[in-house]
Amino acid sequence: MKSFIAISFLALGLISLIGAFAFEKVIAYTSSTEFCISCHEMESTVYQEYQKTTHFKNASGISPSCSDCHVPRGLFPTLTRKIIAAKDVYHWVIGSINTPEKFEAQRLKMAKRVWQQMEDNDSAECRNCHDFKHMNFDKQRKRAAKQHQNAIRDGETCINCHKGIAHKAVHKDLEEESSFDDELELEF
Amino acid sequence: MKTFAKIFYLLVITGISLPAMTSEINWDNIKAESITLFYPGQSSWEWLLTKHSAAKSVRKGAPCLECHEDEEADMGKIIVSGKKLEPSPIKGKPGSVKIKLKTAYDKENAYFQVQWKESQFSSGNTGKYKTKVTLMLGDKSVKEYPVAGCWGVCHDDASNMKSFKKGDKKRQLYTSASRVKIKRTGGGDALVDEDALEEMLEEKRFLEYWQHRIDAKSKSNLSHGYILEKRHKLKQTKFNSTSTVKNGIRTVIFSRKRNKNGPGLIPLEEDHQYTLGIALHEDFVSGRQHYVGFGRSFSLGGNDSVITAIKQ
Repeated sequence: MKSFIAISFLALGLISLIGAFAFEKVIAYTSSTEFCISCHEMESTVYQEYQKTTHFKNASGISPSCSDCHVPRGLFPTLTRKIIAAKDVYHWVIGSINTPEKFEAQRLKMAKRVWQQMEDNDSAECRNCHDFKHMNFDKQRKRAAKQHQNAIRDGETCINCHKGIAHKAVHKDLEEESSFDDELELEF
Repeated sequence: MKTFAKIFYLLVITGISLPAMTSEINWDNIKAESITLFYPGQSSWEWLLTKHSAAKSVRKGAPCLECHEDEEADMGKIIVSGKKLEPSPIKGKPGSVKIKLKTAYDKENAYFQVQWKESQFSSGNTGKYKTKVTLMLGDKSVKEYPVAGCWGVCHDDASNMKSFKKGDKKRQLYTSASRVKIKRTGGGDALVDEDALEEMLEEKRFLEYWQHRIDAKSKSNLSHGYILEKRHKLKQTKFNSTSTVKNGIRTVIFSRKRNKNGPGLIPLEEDHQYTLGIALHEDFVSGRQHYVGFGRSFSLGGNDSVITAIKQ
């Protein structure tokens, strides 16, 4: 009896270990840039745009992968984002965004969702690397230094100002669709 | 005697006063402020409040210089090329021009010296005035002026701006307070009532401008007025200005009596902070095709303004 219990525990442990290993591999694989750009419409649009930005190629050689900017760290936030992202795979499968043209047609809608997620989590993905506390304002351009200090004062988050820095600036389309009449109120 | 009376009369009607003509300022003792004027294209007040990337900061009252100091030449280059905010670029036009500004005052007058290297660029434009240099003065009574300078009265529906429609009547600069409502497309033609405009005029809630214009034959002509619900031109010019050019450097010296206080005139007092705007039209252009400098705080004496006139 004792040996049966021992073998059961051993088997359970082994299965858990294999499960954890497989889980980690799946998470890692689905977080890789290769996975993200395995769809043609991703590779030919957002990835091409990203390669022209300073986030992709820069003096320090630090280049975040897709998931560094689009998947927050931590088990629960990662899993939540994966579940949400599964919707994109679903829409790819049913053909809503399976060509670059269809992808473009839906781009602003998808971008708005990403911006909202980033606003809701205080731009957690950006803050994996960037932190107000470690910014040397003396080494920034005057406008950047001022705006960052204003952002700290006003509790702004990265994405409020930094939309369109890694992909096409579709937030300009967002501005076109609004009349802005509600944004003309002065606060001074 | 009759001849003297005629000369005196001519001087009076042209608004040229003897003390203002005979400026005895020793400009060599006054430090120049270097200012870059740049091509603004169709960047209107409404654009600043909405599409400008730091629109939120503008709505909170952040002045342009807070972020954009020393960026003027880069911005001018982008805009004049037509990459942004300019649907009809003038090929080859420089994006900016550097000027030097010196200011001084005495008991009677305030003095402004503007110097710049005249551009050799010619687009083939023709028009009445080859060059126009304009100074515009106001204070926080026009609340957008200390924030945005000249941009505060440059609206999206002004002539040749983005929201100006074919068939609209000519609109120049105007203050937001002169309109019933400011929309994304500007304030249109719906003015506040006449009593309110009259009150604004009495309370000095307008901007005063002085413009020195030089025609193709190098003859000067002055224009004096104020901006309220439109650009008003005063019947009598109550400032003086002279223009000289030496080795390609143009020098225009403005002077105005400090205690002028009629309709459209802002008294120039010590211990009061104003905002000074500067614009330059070259190559016979008009309207938005000029160079403009960010609004700078200005005072006669004191030490809390970007530009401080030195007492003589």
